[in-house]
Amino acid sequence: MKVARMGEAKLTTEQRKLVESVWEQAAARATSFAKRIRMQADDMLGAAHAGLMEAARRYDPAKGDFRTYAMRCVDGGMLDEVARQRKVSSLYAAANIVRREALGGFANSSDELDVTTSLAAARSLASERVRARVAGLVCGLILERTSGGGEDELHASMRHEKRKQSLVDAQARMSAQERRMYRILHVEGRTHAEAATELGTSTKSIQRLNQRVLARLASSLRSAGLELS
Amino acid sequence: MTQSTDAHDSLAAELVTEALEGIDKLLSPEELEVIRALVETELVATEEGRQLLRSCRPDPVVAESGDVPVSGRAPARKRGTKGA
Repeated sequence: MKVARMGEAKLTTEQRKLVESVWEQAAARATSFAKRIRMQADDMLGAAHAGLMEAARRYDPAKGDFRTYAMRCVDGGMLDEVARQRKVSSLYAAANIVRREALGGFANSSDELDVTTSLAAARSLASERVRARVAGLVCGLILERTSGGGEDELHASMRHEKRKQSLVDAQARMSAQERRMYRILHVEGRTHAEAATELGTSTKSIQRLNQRVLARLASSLRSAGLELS
Repeated sequence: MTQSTDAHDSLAAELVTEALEGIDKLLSPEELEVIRALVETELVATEEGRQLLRSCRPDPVVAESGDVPVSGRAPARKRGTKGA
């Protein structure tokens, strides 16, 4: 870990304490992310540490909890590193959006979880939270790479919320069978014939269903200013 | 450092896959991989995320407590808890 924590000598004592207070959490995050993104853990630990030092330097207690702010900076640092190593410039946009406060992770879920009694209800609530989080990131990324920086923060935030809701709504309109078909064809990359066998229907029915689902998704997204590639 | 369990890993992956259905084509494969990795990491490596994952799973069944195997009998009632 010593290699990953270079540069702390330039921080004040107070800033070093801030880094120390959340380093373990940042390191866990970096290790988990590196495994998932198939990159060297040391590289991600270094990037997370750089993000954390940036957070300690810029932190203003008036903005609230340091941990929350620091983890956004850690994520931003890690995404910058992925963008740099893989030479994918749009990932710098992703790094910018995760540094913003508005996206908020899975916050405020604890109260509802405490009163949720059945596993099915808890699963449904978890799905809803993760959908909202993913939709927020996807919209933020699209907004960031298309806005060109000329839009004021309020308008950008309103447009972001509208798009995010459109994505969540578009997904909510998919039936269970449509979701299974979508997953088989577009996530698992299997054929129409395989989808037909698994769903107990004909290949032609799957083709029609797929066209209908994609058309409906494209229409919902277009109305929010998003285009399917 | 907190270790995530395999069960949490697979549940996190499942939740993120579901959440990306229908909107995955808005992103390039590289962006998709990053978003997926980021949200899965949030789920398994933060307290809020782990709480969400734990809530979706049945409570663990205790087979043994230390050196004392569970006999199947109801635990002895504590004094003063009658009718509680």
